[in-house]
Amino acid sequence: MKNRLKVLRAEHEMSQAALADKLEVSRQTVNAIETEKYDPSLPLAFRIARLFNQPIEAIFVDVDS
Amino acid sequence: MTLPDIPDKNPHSFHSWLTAGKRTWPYEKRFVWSILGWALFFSGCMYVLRNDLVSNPYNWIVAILPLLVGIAPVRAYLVFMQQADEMIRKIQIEALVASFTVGLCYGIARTLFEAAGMAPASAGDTLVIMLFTLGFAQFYGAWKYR
Repeated sequence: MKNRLKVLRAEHEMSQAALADKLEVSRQTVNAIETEKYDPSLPLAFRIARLFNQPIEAIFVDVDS
Repeated sequence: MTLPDIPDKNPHSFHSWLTAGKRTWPYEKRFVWSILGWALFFSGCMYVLRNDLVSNPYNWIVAILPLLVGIAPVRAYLVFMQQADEMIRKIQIEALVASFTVGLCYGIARTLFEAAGMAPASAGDTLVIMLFTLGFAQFYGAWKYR
């Protein structure tokens, strides 16, 4: 699974810690998603989409499809 | 595309990647203090029992007390896991699996080696190895996703 989280975070000039605070997760979670070491759960993916006001599929891309 | 690196107000220190984040930190701290308190209590009870400072039947009460007090760190760990986010839970679960696997493998190997003629090892070794592996795996997991 590829994602645009780092791009979106950079566009909004947010640090990993600031984004983690907004999403109510640890900074490690944000870092692991950005570096594609970890795919977030569906509720967290929805929270990210809501925060950046974008559909989930605009942020997360299934490379197999 | 190269993205600008936006620094955090508080740069990531050793402490910041080793701990589970601001929201989970109070629960993590409670667990650490309760496990340290329990270890101290366990050591005290062991000292009392090994030096025969209490007579029968009170020695049985002293032996049971650490088990009852042990509920506190177990509960603190469960609360920490319930409050932790999905990444921290993943790190903890991976660490628990590593600890269990290493403990199981050591236990099996020890039994086989003893049957083959090795001098009997202490049964407590397995527990120590499991706890050491748990700590190391937690540290490694926190480093991997730092």
